[in-house]
Amino acid sequence: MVLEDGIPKDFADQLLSALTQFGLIFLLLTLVAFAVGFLVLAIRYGPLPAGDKIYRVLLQMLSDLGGSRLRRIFALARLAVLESIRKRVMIVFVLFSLIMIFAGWFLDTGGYDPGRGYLFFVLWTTKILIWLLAALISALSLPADLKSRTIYTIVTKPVRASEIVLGRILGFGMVGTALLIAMGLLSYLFVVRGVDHTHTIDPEALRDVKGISGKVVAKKGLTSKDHGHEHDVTIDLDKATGYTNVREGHWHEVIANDPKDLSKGYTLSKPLDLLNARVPIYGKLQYLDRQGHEGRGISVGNEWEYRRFIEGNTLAAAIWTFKGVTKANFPPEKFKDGLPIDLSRIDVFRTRKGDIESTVRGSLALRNPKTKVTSHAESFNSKKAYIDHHVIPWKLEREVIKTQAGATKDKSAGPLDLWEDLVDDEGQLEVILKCEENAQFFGVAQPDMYLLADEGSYRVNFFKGYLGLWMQMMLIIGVGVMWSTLLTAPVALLATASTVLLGQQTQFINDALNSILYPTHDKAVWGGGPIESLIRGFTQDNVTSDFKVTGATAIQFMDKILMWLVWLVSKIIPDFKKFDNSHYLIEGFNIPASVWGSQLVDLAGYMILMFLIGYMFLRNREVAA
Amino acid sequence: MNQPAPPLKATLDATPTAGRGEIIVETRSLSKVYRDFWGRQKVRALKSLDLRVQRGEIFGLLGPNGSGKTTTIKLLLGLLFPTSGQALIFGENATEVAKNERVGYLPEESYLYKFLNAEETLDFYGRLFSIPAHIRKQRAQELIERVGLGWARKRQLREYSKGMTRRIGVAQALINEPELILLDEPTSGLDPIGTREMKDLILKLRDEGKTIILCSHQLADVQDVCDRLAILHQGELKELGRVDALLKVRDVTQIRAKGLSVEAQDEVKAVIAKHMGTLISMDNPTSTLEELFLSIVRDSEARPGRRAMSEGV
Repeated sequence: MVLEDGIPKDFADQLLSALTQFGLIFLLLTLVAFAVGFLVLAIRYGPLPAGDKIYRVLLQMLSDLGGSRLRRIFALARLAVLESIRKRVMIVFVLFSLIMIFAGWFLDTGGYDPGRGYLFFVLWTTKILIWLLAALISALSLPADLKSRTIYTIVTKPVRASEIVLGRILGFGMVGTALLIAMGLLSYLFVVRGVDHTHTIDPEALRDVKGISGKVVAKKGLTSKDHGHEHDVTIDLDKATGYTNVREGHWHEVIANDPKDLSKGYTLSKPLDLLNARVPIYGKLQYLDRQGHEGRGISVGNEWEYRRFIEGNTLAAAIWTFKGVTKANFPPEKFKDGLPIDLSRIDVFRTRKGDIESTVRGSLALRNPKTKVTSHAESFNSKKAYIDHHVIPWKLEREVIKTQAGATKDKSAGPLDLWEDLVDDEGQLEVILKCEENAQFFGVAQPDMYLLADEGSYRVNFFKGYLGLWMQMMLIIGVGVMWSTLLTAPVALLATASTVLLGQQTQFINDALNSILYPTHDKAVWGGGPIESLIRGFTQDNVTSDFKVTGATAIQFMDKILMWLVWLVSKIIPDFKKFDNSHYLIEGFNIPASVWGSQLVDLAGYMILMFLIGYMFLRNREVAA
Repeated sequence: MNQPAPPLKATLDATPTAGRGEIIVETRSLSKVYRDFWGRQKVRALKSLDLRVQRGEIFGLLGPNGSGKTTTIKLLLGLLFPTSGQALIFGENATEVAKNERVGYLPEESYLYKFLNAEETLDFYGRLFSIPAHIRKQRAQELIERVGLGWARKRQLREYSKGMTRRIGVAQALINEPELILLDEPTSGLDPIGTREMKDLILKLRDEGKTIILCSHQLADVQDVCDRLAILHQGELKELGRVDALLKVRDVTQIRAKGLSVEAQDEVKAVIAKHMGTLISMDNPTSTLEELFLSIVRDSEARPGRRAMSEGV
């Protein structure tokens, strides 16, 4: 798996469009709210008194918002915290701790990347518990106050409805944050300690490896079996150090206990490359077809397949163009061995029978986007399950040109310098991936290859992963408090759950909206709007056939009006998936500032909207009715 | 037969609103109709109520259950919105939040947070006002002592009896030293001693210059403490005026004397007959049950272990 949406957009560009969209939606919502309010009041009292009442409400709203004081908001937040503590909300943490204690019994420490399993488990457990808690405390508290009438003693003090809503959000947010921090710390310890292990080596069991001269230059053998696996180990006798092969997504360094006396045994390091926070630089992918022309890559027929395929032993290739290949991003003193390139789990599609256990051979070459100077293609064997690390040396051989006379090197003499010859003056570099085996295919997508610019702190990344959970929790609290200002406890809880569920389906909602509002031949959702689809349901009409009933145009027009309303509502429903950073953490990628920065901006926008809606509900509600 | 007090119009004119003091609370044709979800009328709880309450008086709202007393209080506090008419407090619309800085409210039941203790309760409500922290703390301690809960200040309210909850409810209503205090059934749930203390407190607050509106169906409470009262029935104002004026039976003369012999009493009867009066009754007066109860309790506290015996029993 790769980060399918992992190529972050520029934060500054996003911010401007987000602010514009927020302003537009805010304006539209306000207009719709006042229009509906005016209609209801006009029916009851007549248009003039209705206008007068709307005007007064508007004035009072401005006065309330202006008159809100932090002192009262914090007092109400403090009350919410005390309420949660006294009602033993912290039991959630006890429950979480119990789950963690017993989780080790059933979690698989094997597999190609056990760290993923641990992370997946703690993130989902935390998410479920914290979501449930957030929904319960936020949706039930205010209705409980209204039912028990304790709210009477609040609203008869100089407390604005805005302060009540903000106080609740802040208070429950503080409770949830404290719990999430505790759960995050426990999760971190659980993951780190869960995957932490080492092995031992029996020096006697190692076999000698002789060099060309017949002298023993290295030793090879196996480590002990711990954590459900063992490693092949190779020790360089000259350096008295060694390394293991990659198993379960990690490897170990081997150091002799006494470099002068290797019979005293070896010590293995902690697992390496297991819990990472890689900082990638992504490129733009372009496919070449088997004739070497630009193409879209081949579909191998799996409708869920996300990668496109290139055919082996043809001119088909996948070419990534990277920007930002500069000495500032890759300082030679830090990247002494060369330019690090990761191939993230390249997919393989086989069309001929062979040894399924064996790998498929491919090649990597570098090319200057402007001069088209190309390096010699280096072979590699595909690793479907692992991230394949390559370090491209700063000095490379030139391209091998195949002619009828045989393979010859570029006529120009001398090796290539990566900075001088392959990176253009704008810091761009092309990397060409090919499958070298006949009738076999490599499946690649844009995020499958990246330049590894840095290795971030895993702890910080873990925190950023939990920041996503925190933002989702705050959204649920905002939604819960918003509904609780209008509805009774069970209905508010139901509405909160429904909003969260809808928030998981924003992609479908957007597809449906686009398909109905801007229909095209390749639209994602077929069957029309609510009225049309209802009629199609009754008449058992095929969704892809033309809608041919009397008044079809009028029905579709009404559907469009309804869908515009749905569009407006859909803009208030938070896209919960957008705030999910767990895939970065699980896949071992650093969560870039542009991602969590834009998430924070989105969170602020949603919270403002939910606060205003909640305030409107509560302000215009008769508390004692 | 006793003649009723003068009609409403006359008492309205007789109220001390004609420039003798500042008007703190005023309702103008205040009406409230409760509606169902579909907007259909369910109950007409209050019909065109006109009231004015002056600074420094104790004003009673009297009436049976469902007469509109609590609805009036809720309208004055902005807990309900009027269907028509106006409710003004300190000259401002009752829905204005700012007026609450000067208002204290004791609800019918003490709707307080059960998970807080007395100190936390007063501290929380104090934080909702613009009161400096040290004054808030000092005032909270004073109020806890004043309502007699010093010994239970650290106990959560869920452990309080109804009477104790009532007392802490009063304390929270006074945390901001309000100018206007609205008390909904203030003696509800209190024992006779608590009732007397509550009434004494109300009178003391009046003496401190505060304006008090209380609603109750405990007639004795209203009679004991209120300066003026309004009697509501089925949402309509039936009577309004000074308590002493309303209760005065103008065509009956009461004579109370001590140490008269039977002969002397006969002479008094003769004088009444001579002047064409009708003797309604002549007997020994009785005390109220409240006074009897309080005297027994005080006696018991003074001399524990002895059975208190009233004279003549």
